Amino acid sequence: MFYHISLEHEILLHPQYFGPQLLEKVKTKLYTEVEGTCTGKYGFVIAVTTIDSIGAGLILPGQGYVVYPVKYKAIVFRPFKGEVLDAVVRQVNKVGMFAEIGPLSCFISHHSIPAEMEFCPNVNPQCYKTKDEDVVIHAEGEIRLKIVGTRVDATGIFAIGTLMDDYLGLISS
Amino acid sequence: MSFTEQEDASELKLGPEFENAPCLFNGEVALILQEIKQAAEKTVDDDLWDRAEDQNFINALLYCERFNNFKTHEAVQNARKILNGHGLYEFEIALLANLCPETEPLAKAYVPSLLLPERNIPSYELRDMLYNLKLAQRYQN
Repeated sequence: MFYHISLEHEILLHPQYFGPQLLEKVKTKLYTEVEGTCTGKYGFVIAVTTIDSIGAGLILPGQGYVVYPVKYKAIVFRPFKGEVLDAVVRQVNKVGMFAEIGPLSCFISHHSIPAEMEFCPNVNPQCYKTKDEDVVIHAEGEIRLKIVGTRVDATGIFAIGTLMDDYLGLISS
Repeated sequence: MSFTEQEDASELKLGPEFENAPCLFNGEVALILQEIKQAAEKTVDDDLWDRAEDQNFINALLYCERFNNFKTHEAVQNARKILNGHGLYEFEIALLANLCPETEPLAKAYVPSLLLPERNIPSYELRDMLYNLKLAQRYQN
C-alpha cells in the first residue's frame, strides 16, 4: 500500500553553495538523497511531495559544512504481512513465480500455489495452469496475492506471497 | 528476529509509523506521480537529478497506472465519499478502493480486519458501499 507520511532528513551542504540559490540546493539535494531509497522502517520512498520546513542550518566546526534539518512529506510504498495486493507476474519456473508490485518484488513458492495448478515447462510461454486450462498464469499476467512475510536487507525489501487463500490468483477482467 | 514479525495487516497491526498514516489509492499515487513527471520534463536543467528517471519511481507509476480503479480526481473523490463515514480505517478504505471487491465475502477475504470482534459494520452497509463503489468505478468519465 502507498502512504503519504511525514519524514525528516538532514542535508549536509558544502560551503560552495552558500549563495542566493542555497535553499533551492537544499531542496534538490533532498530529492537526490531520499527519493529511490528504501528502509525497513518506512519502505520505498517514491517521491517527495512537499517540503514543510527547512530548519536553521548548523555550521560544523572545523569543516565549514552546514547541516540543515528538513521536514518533508513523501509518498512511500510499504508492504505488510497479511496485505492483499495486485501484482504483475515477471517470471515463472519450477520453484514458483516472481511477481512485481511497483517497486517491490515478491516470490511465490510452488508450495503456495494451489496444488491443482501445475508448472508446464514445455509450452510457450512457460506457465502454471490447471488441468482443464481454466486458469493459466504466465509472465506478464496479473495476479492477486497475499503477502505472508517480508525480508529487509541493505538494498531493499523483498516479499514472500501466497495464492493459497480465498479469492486469490489470476485476475480475470 | 526481524521487527516485522509483530506486524499483521489482517489485524491492522501496522506499527507506530503507519498506524495512523494517511493511505493513498493507486489512482491518487498515479495522479501525483504524473504531475511530478510532467514538472520534471519541463525543467531542462541537465545537471539536476531527474526525479522521474528513478527506477522505483518508474515502477511505482507503471504499477499505479495499471491497477488503477479510479483514474481522475473526481473519481477518487467520489470513491472516498462512498467509503468515508462508516467507521473504516484508512488502511481498509484504501484496500477496498484498490481491490474493488464486488461482494461481501470477497471484501472480508481481502480485508480480514473487518471481521475483528470489536468491529460491527452491518452487512447491508458493507454491501451498499461495495455496490456504490463498483458503480463509481464503472461510470467514471
